[in-house]
Amino acid sequence: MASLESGRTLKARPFESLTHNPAFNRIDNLFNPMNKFPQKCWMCHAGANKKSFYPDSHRHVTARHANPPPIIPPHVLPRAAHSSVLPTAPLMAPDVATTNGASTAKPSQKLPTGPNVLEVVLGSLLIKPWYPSFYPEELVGRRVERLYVCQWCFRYSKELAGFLGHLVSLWSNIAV
Amino acid sequence: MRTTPPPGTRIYTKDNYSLYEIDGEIDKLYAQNLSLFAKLFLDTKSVFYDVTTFLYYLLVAHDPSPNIPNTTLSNEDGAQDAYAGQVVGFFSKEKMSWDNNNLACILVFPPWQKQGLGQILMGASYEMSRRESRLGGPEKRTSFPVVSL
Repeated sequence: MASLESGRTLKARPFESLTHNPAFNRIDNLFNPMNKFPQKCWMCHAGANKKSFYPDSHRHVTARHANPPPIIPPHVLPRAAHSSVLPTAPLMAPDVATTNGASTAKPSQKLPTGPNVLEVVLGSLLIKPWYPSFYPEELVGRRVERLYVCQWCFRYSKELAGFLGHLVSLWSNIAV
Repeated sequence: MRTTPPPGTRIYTKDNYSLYEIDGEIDKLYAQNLSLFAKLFLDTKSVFYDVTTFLYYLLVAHDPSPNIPNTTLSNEDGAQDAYAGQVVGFFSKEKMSWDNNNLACILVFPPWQKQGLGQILMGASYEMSRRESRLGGPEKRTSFPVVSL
Protein backbone atom coordinates (compact mmCIF):
# COMPACT_ATOMS: atom_id res chain seq x y z
CA MET A 1 0.00 0.00 0.00
CA ALA A 2 1.48 3.32 -1.12
CA SER A 3 -0.09 6.39 0.37
CA LEU A 4 -0.25 9.84 -1.14
CA GLU A 5 -0.29 13.19 0.64
CA SER A 6 -3.95 13.64 -0.16
CA GLY A 7 -4.78 10.57 1.81
CA ARG A 8 -5.89 8.52 -1.15
CA THR A 9 -4.25 5.17 -1.49
CA LEU A 10 -3.06 3.37 -4.54
CA LYS A 11 -3.60 -0.33 -4.65
CA ALA A 12 -0.60 -2.28 -5.63
CA ARG A 13 -1.33 -4.14 -8.82
CA PRO A 14 1.60 -6.48 -9.22
CA PHE A 15 0.36 -8.28 -12.32
CA GLU A 16 -0.14 -5.18 -14.38
CA SER A 17 2.77 -3.51 -16.06
CA LEU A 18 3.18 0.23 -16.35
CA THR A 19 1.65 0.32 -19.79
CA HIS A 20 -1.65 -0.74 -18.39
CA ASN A 21 -1.77 2.49 -16.47
CA PRO A 22 -4.03 4.77 -18.50
CA ALA A 23 -1.71 7.72 -17.85
CA PHE A 24 1.18 5.88 -19.43
CA ASN A 25 -1.02 4.70 -22.20
CA ARG A 26 -1.71 8.29 -23.12
CA ILE A 27 2.01 8.93 -23.45
CA ASP A 28 2.55 5.78 -25.40
CA ASN A 29 -0.12 6.79 -27.85
CA LEU A 30 1.95 9.77 -28.83
CA PHE A 31 4.71 7.50 -30.05
CA ASN A 32 2.52 4.89 -31.56
CA PRO A 33 3.27 4.88 -35.28
CA MET A 34 -0.31 4.03 -35.98
CA ASN A 35 -1.30 7.44 -34.69
CA LYS A 36 0.67 9.40 -37.26
CA PHE A 37 -1.18 11.84 -39.50
CA PRO A 38 -3.08 10.43 -42.12
CA GLN A 39 -4.83 7.79 -40.12
CA LYS A 40 -7.36 7.68 -42.84
CA CYS A 41 -6.88 7.92 -46.55
CA TRP A 42 -8.27 11.18 -47.83
CA MET A 43 -9.21 9.62 -51.14
CA CYS A 44 -10.91 6.41 -50.12
CA HIS A 45 -12.27 5.16 -46.83
CA ALA A 46 -9.31 3.00 -45.88
CA GLY A 47 -8.70 3.24 -42.16
CA ALA A 48 -11.98 4.96 -41.51
CA ASN A 49 -13.39 2.22 -39.32
CA LYS A 50 -10.46 1.50 -37.00
CA LYS A 51 -9.02 -1.08 -39.34
CA SER A 52 -5.30 -1.35 -39.75
CA PHE A 53 -4.16 1.30 -42.18
CA TYR A 54 -0.56 1.83 -43.15
CA PRO A 55 -0.22 5.10 -45.08
CA ASP A 56 3.18 4.21 -46.49
CA SER A 57 1.98 1.05 -48.13
CA HIS A 58 -1.40 2.38 -49.11
CA ARG A 59 -1.60 2.78 -52.86
CA HIS A 60 -4.39 3.59 -55.20
CA VAL A 61 -3.78 1.18 -57.98
CA THR A 62 -7.03 -0.69 -58.00
CA ALA A 63 -9.28 -0.56 -61.00
CA ARG A 64 -11.86 1.18 -58.89
CA HIS A 65 -9.60 4.17 -58.46
CA ALA A 66 -8.12 4.07 -61.92
CA ASN A 67 -11.56 4.35 -63.47
CA PRO A 68 -13.71 6.18 -60.99
CA PRO A 69 -17.39 6.47 -61.67
CA PRO A 70 -18.21 9.57 -63.65
CA ILE A 71 -19.33 12.50 -61.58
CA ILE A 72 -20.76 15.27 -63.65
CA PRO A 73 -21.19 18.57 -61.88
CA PRO A 74 -24.46 20.40 -62.19
CA HIS A 75 -24.93 22.63 -65.19
CA VAL A 76 -22.33 20.64 -67.08
CA LEU A 77 -23.46 19.20 -70.33
CA PRO A 78 -22.41 15.66 -71.21
CA ARG A 79 -18.78 15.21 -72.05
CA ALA A 80 -19.49 14.94 -75.73
CA ALA A 81 -18.58 18.61 -75.84
CA HIS A 82 -14.93 17.66 -76.33
CA SER A 83 -14.56 17.47 -80.04
CA SER A 84 -11.18 17.08 -81.57
CA VAL A 85 -11.67 19.25 -84.63
CA LEU A 86 -11.94 22.98 -84.47
CA PRO A 87 -14.56 23.85 -87.12
CA THR A 88 -17.50 22.07 -85.59
CA ALA A 89 -21.07 23.05 -85.66
CA PRO A 90 -21.72 25.32 -82.71
CA LEU A 91 -23.38 23.57 -79.83
CA MET A 92 -26.61 24.75 -78.38
CA ALA A 93 -25.78 27.69 -76.19
CA PRO A 94 -27.85 28.04 -73.04
CA ASP A 95 -30.62 30.53 -73.35
CA VAL A 96 -29.54 33.96 -72.25
CA ALA A 97 -32.99 34.89 -71.03
CA THR A 98 -33.26 31.93 -68.66
CA THR A 99 -29.83 32.54 -67.14
CA ASN A 100 -30.66 36.19 -66.67
CA GLY A 101 -33.88 35.21 -64.98
CA ALA A 102 -32.01 32.88 -62.68
CA SER A 103 -29.55 35.60 -61.71
CA THR A 104 -32.27 38.13 -61.05
CA ALA A 105 -34.12 35.61 -58.94
CA LYS A 106 -31.26 35.69 -56.46
CA PRO A 107 -30.25 39.32 -56.17
CA SER A 108 -28.09 38.69 -53.10
CA GLN A 109 -25.61 36.72 -55.14
CA LYS A 110 -23.07 38.98 -56.79
CA LEU A 111 -21.17 36.43 -58.82
CA PRO A 112 -22.81 34.85 -61.83
CA THR A 113 -23.74 31.28 -61.11
CA GLY A 114 -23.23 29.93 -64.60
CA PRO A 115 -20.09 30.06 -66.67
CA ASN A 116 -19.37 33.41 -68.19
CA VAL A 117 -17.36 31.71 -70.92
CA LEU A 118 -19.68 29.48 -72.86
CA GLU A 119 -17.05 27.57 -74.77
CA VAL A 120 -13.31 27.52 -74.56
CA VAL A 121 -11.03 26.34 -77.33
CA LEU A 122 -7.71 25.00 -76.13
CA GLY A 123 -5.58 24.66 -79.20
CA SER A 124 -8.18 22.89 -81.27
CA LEU A 125 -10.11 21.12 -78.50
CA LEU A 126 -13.52 22.52 -77.81
CA ILE A 127 -14.22 22.33 -74.08
CA LYS A 128 -17.29 23.31 -72.17
CA PRO A 129 -16.32 25.17 -69.00
CA TRP A 130 -17.82 24.20 -65.70
CA TYR A 131 -17.53 27.34 -63.63
CA PRO A 132 -17.20 31.07 -64.22
CA SER A 133 -13.74 32.48 -64.48
CA PHE A 134 -12.48 35.98 -63.87
CA TYR A 135 -11.00 36.99 -67.15
CA PRO A 136 -10.64 40.78 -67.29
CA GLU A 137 -13.76 42.36 -68.65
CA GLU A 138 -11.92 44.93 -70.73
CA LEU A 139 -10.33 42.14 -72.74
CA VAL A 140 -13.02 39.50 -73.06
CA GLY A 141 -16.14 41.28 -71.91
CA ARG A 142 -18.66 40.24 -69.37
CA ARG A 143 -19.90 37.32 -71.35
CA VAL A 144 -18.08 35.65 -74.20
CA GLU A 145 -19.39 32.96 -76.47
CA ARG A 146 -16.12 31.31 -77.31
CA LEU A 147 -12.70 32.00 -75.90
CA TYR A 148 -9.55 30.84 -77.64
CA VAL A 149 -6.72 29.76 -75.37
CA CYS A 150 -3.26 28.95 -76.59
CA GLN A 151 -2.28 25.43 -75.72
CA TRP A 152 1.35 26.36 -75.11
CA CYS A 153 1.30 29.59 -73.17
CA PHE A 154 -2.38 29.82 -72.13
CA ARG A 155 -2.81 33.26 -73.58
CA TYR A 156 -6.38 33.95 -74.45
CA SER A 157 -8.21 35.82 -77.13
CA LYS A 158 -11.83 36.50 -77.86
CA GLU A 159 -11.22 36.83 -81.56
CA LEU A 160 -10.28 33.97 -83.82
CA ALA A 161 -8.08 36.24 -85.91
CA GLY A 162 -6.02 37.29 -82.96
CA PHE A 163 -5.66 33.72 -81.83
CA LEU A 164 -4.52 32.57 -85.25
CA GLY A 165 -2.11 35.47 -85.43
CA HIS A 166 -0.73 34.38 -82.09
CA LEU A 167 -0.28 30.82 -83.34
CA VAL A 168 1.44 32.04 -86.49
CA SER A 169 3.71 34.24 -84.45
CA LEU A 170 4.63 31.25 -82.34
CA TRP A 171 5.33 29.25 -85.46
CA SER A 172 7.48 31.86 -87.03
CA ASN A 173 9.33 32.37 -83.72
CA ILE A 174 8.36 35.99 -83.49
CA ALA A 175 8.32 37.40 -80.03
CA VAL A 176 4.81 38.45 -79.12
CA MET B 1 6.95 28.66 -76.72
CA ARG B 2 5.90 26.23 -79.36
CA THR B 3 9.29 24.62 -79.73
CA THR B 4 10.42 25.27 -76.20
CA PRO B 5 9.22 23.60 -73.05
CA PRO B 6 7.11 25.62 -70.64
CA PRO B 7 9.00 28.08 -68.48
CA GLY B 8 10.49 26.93 -65.25
CA THR B 9 12.61 23.93 -64.51
CA ARG B 10 11.92 20.32 -65.21
CA ILE B 11 12.03 18.40 -61.98
CA TYR B 12 10.83 14.94 -62.91
CA THR B 13 10.41 12.81 -66.01
CA LYS B 14 9.10 9.34 -66.40
CA ASP B 15 7.20 7.50 -69.09
CA ASN B 16 6.33 10.38 -71.38
CA TYR B 17 5.30 12.58 -68.49
CA SER B 18 7.28 15.44 -67.01
CA LEU B 19 6.82 17.78 -64.11
CA TYR B 20 7.84 21.41 -64.42
CA GLU B 21 8.18 23.77 -61.52
CA ILE B 22 7.18 27.33 -62.23
CA ASP B 23 7.75 30.22 -59.87
CA GLY B 24 4.81 32.57 -59.92
CA GLU B 25 7.12 35.48 -59.29
CA ILE B 26 9.33 34.84 -62.28
CA ASP B 27 6.79 33.70 -64.86
CA LYS B 28 3.99 35.86 -63.64
CA LEU B 29 2.02 36.18 -66.86
CA TYR B 30 2.13 32.47 -67.51
CA ALA B 31 0.92 31.69 -64.01
CA GLN B 32 -1.87 34.23 -64.28
CA ASN B 33 -3.06 32.87 -67.58
CA LEU B 34 -2.90 29.35 -66.23
CA SER B 35 -4.90 30.33 -63.15
CA LEU B 36 -7.56 32.02 -65.22
CA PHE B 37 -7.87 29.00 -67.46
CA ALA B 38 -8.04 26.66 -64.49
CA LYS B 39 -10.81 28.66 -62.89
CA LEU B 40 -13.05 27.55 -65.74
CA PHE B 41 -12.99 24.07 -64.21
CA LEU B 42 -12.65 24.79 -60.50
CA ASP B 43 -15.43 26.01 -58.29
CA THR B 44 -13.46 27.59 -55.49
CA LYS B 45 -10.23 29.20 -56.54
CA SER B 46 -9.22 32.59 -55.34
CA VAL B 47 -5.76 33.37 -56.63
CA PHE B 48 -5.57 34.73 -60.15
CA TYR B 49 -3.40 37.79 -60.29
CA ASP B 50 -1.37 37.70 -57.09
CA VAL B 51 0.57 34.61 -58.04
CA THR B 52 3.93 35.62 -56.69
CA THR B 53 3.64 33.58 -53.51
CA PHE B 54 2.81 30.36 -55.31
CA LEU B 55 4.70 27.65 -57.06
CA TYR B 56 3.07 25.88 -59.96
CA TYR B 57 3.88 22.34 -60.90
CA LEU B 58 2.83 21.50 -64.43
CA LEU B 59 2.23 17.99 -65.63
CA VAL B 60 3.41 17.78 -69.22
CA ALA B 61 2.46 14.85 -71.42
CA HIS B 62 4.83 14.22 -74.28
CA ASP B 63 2.38 11.88 -75.97
CA PRO B 64 -1.02 13.11 -74.83
CA SER B 65 -4.23 11.40 -75.69
CA PRO B 66 -6.25 13.03 -77.03
CA ASN B 67 -3.65 14.90 -78.99
CA ILE B 68 -4.28 18.44 -80.13
CA PRO B 69 -4.25 18.35 -83.90
CA ASN B 70 -4.65 21.00 -86.54
CA THR B 71 -2.76 23.74 -84.80
CA THR B 72 0.52 23.08 -86.54
CA LEU B 73 1.44 24.53 -89.87
CA SER B 74 2.48 22.06 -92.49
CA ASN B 75 6.18 21.34 -92.41
CA GLU B 76 7.56 21.09 -95.90
CA ASP B 77 10.60 19.17 -94.81
CA GLY B 78 8.58 17.03 -92.45
CA ALA B 79 10.95 17.73 -89.63
CA GLN B 80 9.66 16.86 -86.21
CA ASP B 81 9.64 19.39 -83.46
CA ALA B 82 12.52 19.41 -81.09
CA TYR B 83 10.07 19.54 -78.24
CA ALA B 84 6.64 18.01 -78.10
CA GLY B 85 4.63 18.34 -74.97
CA GLN B 86 1.26 19.43 -73.77
CA VAL B 87 0.39 20.71 -70.34
CA VAL B 88 -2.41 18.40 -69.23
CA GLY B 89 -2.70 19.42 -65.60
CA PHE B 90 -1.04 21.17 -62.74
CA PHE B 91 -1.13 21.79 -59.06
CA SER B 92 -0.17 24.88 -57.18
CA LYS B 93 1.44 25.20 -53.83
CA GLU B 94 2.14 28.01 -51.45
CA LYS B 95 5.79 28.84 -51.06
CA MET B 96 5.29 29.34 -47.34
CA SER B 97 2.32 27.51 -45.93
CA TRP B 98 1.49 28.16 -42.30
CA ASP B 99 -0.96 25.30 -42.29
CA ASN B 100 1.50 22.79 -43.75
CA ASN B 101 -0.56 22.49 -46.88
CA ASN B 102 1.33 20.69 -49.56
CA LEU B 103 -1.17 21.53 -52.26
CA ALA B 104 -3.43 24.48 -52.88
CA CYS B 105 -5.33 23.62 -56.01
CA ILE B 106 -5.03 20.72 -58.37
CA LEU B 107 -6.54 20.21 -61.77
CA VAL B 108 -6.28 17.89 -64.71
CA PHE B 109 -7.78 19.58 -67.72
CA PRO B 110 -11.02 17.91 -68.84
CA PRO B 111 -9.83 16.35 -72.12
CA TRP B 112 -7.24 14.33 -70.22
CA GLN B 113 -9.22 13.45 -67.15
CA LYS B 114 -10.03 9.92 -66.02
CA GLN B 115 -6.63 8.61 -66.98
CA GLY B 116 -5.18 8.50 -63.50
CA LEU B 117 -3.07 11.58 -64.08
CA GLY B 118 -4.21 13.11 -60.83
CA GLN B 119 -2.39 10.37 -59.00
CA ILE B 120 0.88 11.58 -60.50
CA LEU B 121 0.21 15.07 -59.23
CA MET B 122 -0.89 13.92 -55.80
CA GLY B 123 2.02 11.53 -55.48
CA ALA B 124 4.41 14.29 -56.41
CA SER B 125 2.92 16.66 -53.87
CA TYR B 126 3.15 14.15 -51.06
CA GLU B 127 6.67 13.17 -52.06
CA MET B 128 7.76 16.80 -52.05
CA SER B 129 6.33 17.44 -48.63
CA ARG B 130 7.92 14.24 -47.41
CA ARG B 131 11.33 15.39 -48.57
CA GLU B 132 10.75 18.71 -46.88
CA SER B 133 9.94 16.57 -43.84
CA ARG B 134 6.73 18.44 -43.38
CA LEU B 135 3.66 16.57 -42.38
CA GLY B 136 0.79 18.01 -44.30
CA GLY B 137 -2.03 17.45 -46.65
CA PRO B 138 -3.99 19.31 -49.24
CA GLU B 139 -6.11 22.29 -48.37
CA LYS B 140 -9.25 20.97 -46.90
CA ARG B 141 -11.74 23.07 -48.78
CA THR B 142 -11.97 21.05 -51.97
CA SER B 143 -14.19 21.65 -54.91
CA PHE B 144 -16.82 19.19 -55.84
CA PRO B 145 -15.57 16.94 -58.65
CA VAL B 146 -12.51 15.63 -56.90
CA VAL B 147 -13.05 12.17 -58.28
CA SER B 148 -12.82 13.28 -61.88
CA LEU B 149 -9.16 14.17 -61.55
